[in-house]
Amino acid sequence: MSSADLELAQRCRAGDGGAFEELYRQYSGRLFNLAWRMAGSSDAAEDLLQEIFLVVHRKLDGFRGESSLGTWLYRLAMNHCLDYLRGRQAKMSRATASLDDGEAEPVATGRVSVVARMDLERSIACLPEGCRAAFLLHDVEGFEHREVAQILGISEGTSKSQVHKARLRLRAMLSR
Amino acid sequence: MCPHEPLVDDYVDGALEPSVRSVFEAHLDRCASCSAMVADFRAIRSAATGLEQRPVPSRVWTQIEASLRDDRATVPVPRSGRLLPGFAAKGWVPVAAAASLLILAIGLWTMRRAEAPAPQPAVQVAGNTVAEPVDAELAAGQEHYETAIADLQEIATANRATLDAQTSAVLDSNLSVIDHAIDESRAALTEQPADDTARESLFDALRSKVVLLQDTVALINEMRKGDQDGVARVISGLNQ
Repeated sequence: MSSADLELAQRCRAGDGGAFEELYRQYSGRLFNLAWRMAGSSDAAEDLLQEIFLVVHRKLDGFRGESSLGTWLYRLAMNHCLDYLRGRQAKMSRATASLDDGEAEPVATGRVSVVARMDLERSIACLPEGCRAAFLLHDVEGFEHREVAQILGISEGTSKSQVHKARLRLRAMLSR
Repeated sequence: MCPHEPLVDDYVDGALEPSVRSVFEAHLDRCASCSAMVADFRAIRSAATGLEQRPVPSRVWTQIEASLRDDRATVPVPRSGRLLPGFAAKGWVPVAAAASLLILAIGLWTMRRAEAPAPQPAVQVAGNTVAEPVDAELAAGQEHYETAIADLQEIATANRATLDAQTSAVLDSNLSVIDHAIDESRAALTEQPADDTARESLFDALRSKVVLLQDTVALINEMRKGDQDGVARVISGLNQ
């Protein structure tokens, strides 16, 4: 973990309100967009972001620096987003998708040429939550599979498998 | 499925060992399926890294700040009903404000009765001194008004930090003007208890103070909700 991360975390733990705001300013943009793409709406993303940072504030005392501050934040954020989605699914009485959902992989019917941003956003929203999470962390946020595995609490192999599934599904959706 | 397909993702991500990469690249020259998959995955990954980063609404930080302050104080912060199981939506400031409005309603009713008092005879006492009777209804009305003002003031003061410095200063300035009017009216009534003009001025000033404090509480609530339109409406009312 970088010394800047360590210092920021220590200042936050010491009750430095300015440090906590600095942490918020540094990470809120990325976490907001992650929450938006996981939850599918701006209203939910705002609520989730608020809750995420309140949880961060409460749990900072427990941050020991075993991972980077960013990884720790993303793990908290992603757990919150997945809990939200599973809660929503439970309410709608649908079967909860597990990370390895075992569905047959879709087949691309054409070629993906230029990918329009809106088409990709819409397609990401259609991904099952497990591979959506892995795809967002790896391809959108730029985390290595090792880091995705830490954030999602899965193995590196599962992270690669989930990203592969996501790309196959997106390829099928975008090639129609 | 081509047996080399499992290498596509690592190749696209630049994660293949150099020796494996060169073998895979030789394979791509002969395999249309893997070649197409590489091209498509590259297009998807390129688009993914360029996705729009939507700005975070400023109200989110305002709400976080208010929540952290309220965790240290006792007034809870409104939460959305869309949150996770276990996060119950909390009640908030309007409960206390409603109590104050009830007290105010009683005060207003009493004040209306007090505004048109029946003429009261002077009391002749021993000697040549004449003492005016105490207007009990006026005193009762004032007490109710001032109780409502005290309750609203307590709410507004406890949550004042939600307001920015400029808005706070404007509200303080307005309150100062009204308090001055209240003091002057009371001074005039002390000298001349039957002075109807002074009495009306006092009632007007007390009513103005209640309205200003109600608007202050409303402004705090709108700011907490992050409702900019609501904030603009309240401030527009204050400026009038």
